[in-house]
Amino acid sequence: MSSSVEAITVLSSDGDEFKITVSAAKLSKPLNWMLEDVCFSDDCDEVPTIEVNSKTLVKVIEYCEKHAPRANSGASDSDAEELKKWDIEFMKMDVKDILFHILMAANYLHMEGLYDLACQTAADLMKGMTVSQIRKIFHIKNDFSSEEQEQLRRQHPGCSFD
Amino acid sequence: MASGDDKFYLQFEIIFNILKRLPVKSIVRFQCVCKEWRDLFKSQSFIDEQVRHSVHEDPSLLLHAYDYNYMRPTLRLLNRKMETVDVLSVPSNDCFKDGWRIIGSCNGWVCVESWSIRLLFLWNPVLREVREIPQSKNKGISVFGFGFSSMVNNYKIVRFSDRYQDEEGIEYHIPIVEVYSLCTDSWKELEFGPLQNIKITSTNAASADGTIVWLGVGVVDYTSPVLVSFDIATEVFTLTPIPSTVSRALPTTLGVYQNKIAISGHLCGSHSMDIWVMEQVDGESGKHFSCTQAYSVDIFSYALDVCCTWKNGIVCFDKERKAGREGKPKYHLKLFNLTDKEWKEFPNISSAHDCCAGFSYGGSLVSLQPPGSIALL
Repeated sequence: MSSSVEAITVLSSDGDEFKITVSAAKLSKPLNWMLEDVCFSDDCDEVPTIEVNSKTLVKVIEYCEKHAPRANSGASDSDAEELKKWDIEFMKMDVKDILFHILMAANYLHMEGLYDLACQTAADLMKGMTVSQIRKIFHIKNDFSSEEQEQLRRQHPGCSFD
Repeated sequence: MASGDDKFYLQFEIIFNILKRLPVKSIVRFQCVCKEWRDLFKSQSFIDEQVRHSVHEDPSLLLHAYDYNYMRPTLRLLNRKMETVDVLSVPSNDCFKDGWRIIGSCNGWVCVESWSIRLLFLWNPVLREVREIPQSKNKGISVFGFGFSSMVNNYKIVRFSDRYQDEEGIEYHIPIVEVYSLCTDSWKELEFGPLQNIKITSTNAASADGTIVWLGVGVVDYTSPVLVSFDIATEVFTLTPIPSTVSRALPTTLGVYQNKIAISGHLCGSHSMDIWVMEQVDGESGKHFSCTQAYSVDIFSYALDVCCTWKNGIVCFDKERKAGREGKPKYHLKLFNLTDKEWKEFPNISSAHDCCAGFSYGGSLVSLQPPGSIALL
């Protein structure tokens, strides 16, 4: 890899091109390996594909670019506090629409910080939901027989299957 | 990976990672989602991972406010945003009828001393499980400590008290130390060993990483302060002298900071509040500690007392100057964040109670019922 390269181009699973700076890409282990393996100089026509859809990849890259300076240099505590606030704003998104995609992308790209943040956001959104809302977003079928439901209700008065 | 299709399924690993972060109340509710989730919540791997996360990564603050006679208690749980998420209801059990106090908290369980009936209980407030501890032969005023050792996978309670002995009409009281083991569900007396000339001075203990600690002084001159530590696995006591700078801080509070025992307090006649961390050192004569000053914080008020350590901060009382008028708050609670060095007041936590004890608390699904009894989950 040429040392002059500051940003690389990647393809999303939808085939769209995205630019990501080298320092931001370092937040992901697989992307970092790609940097080492693949030729990213201007005369190289191979553009690696990341198996993440465009809508999600935009968000993932936005996160990487914001967190890269701190990850690479170790910024002060006041920056950490500012970054925490940014994370909260960044995570204001719909569970099904995008958060689950971010979760899968962060897991697939081995991005620990984003993965933890997305898991915690999902848990915070879920804790107030009803059982049937949970089944709906996770596409889970209620597989308790009516006898089993009756038994659980006897053990835990007040438990709800809805 | 994700396709354009809206109906995709998260991998089990991801679902597991989300579910372990839920409050215990939600986990109990969500066992009705499907059989797979119900079975997951009962599995040891989930229970272990959930308690590890809730105790070490995201502990709540358990606040027990009460009056001098241990009456009018309220018990609330606060989340990382310093908001009250739960006001816990006390079991309608004899031990909670009159006054009671919390001795310590460990893996979602609190050890409670019932004031009137002089009994000890273990209580998981979010699972609503209570387990009675058998009475030891010796009664009397006691100092306790409660902790867990992962090395022996056992919970133990240590009790310092006196035994009265009547010899030819003359009453002696002999200091004794006993330990209760949850595995054997019984008490036994321990050798005093190095504690021979030590008096325990702290009313509370702290516990971290398989060790329970108290503060004490040598009874010869009552001036040399020591940290008394108890290794839960080996049941061995160790003494560590405390530097005089630390012992000048009054009152001192024992706590846990970054999974290490910490002493905090403010130095008499100074404008600073200090926190010292006890680093464990494995020496020739077994475990001992070395005491290092971690932080010194400038304070704005002498009326500030340390309540407990929590996450990366110290919870303090800011006492009202005109305390004691009926219904008026007697103190406010503030958190000093040691990372960003900022004070924050807990919203809506000014209290008309006399006292307040705080504990770093991680809600858990760990059941401590004897084998054969029905667990809640």
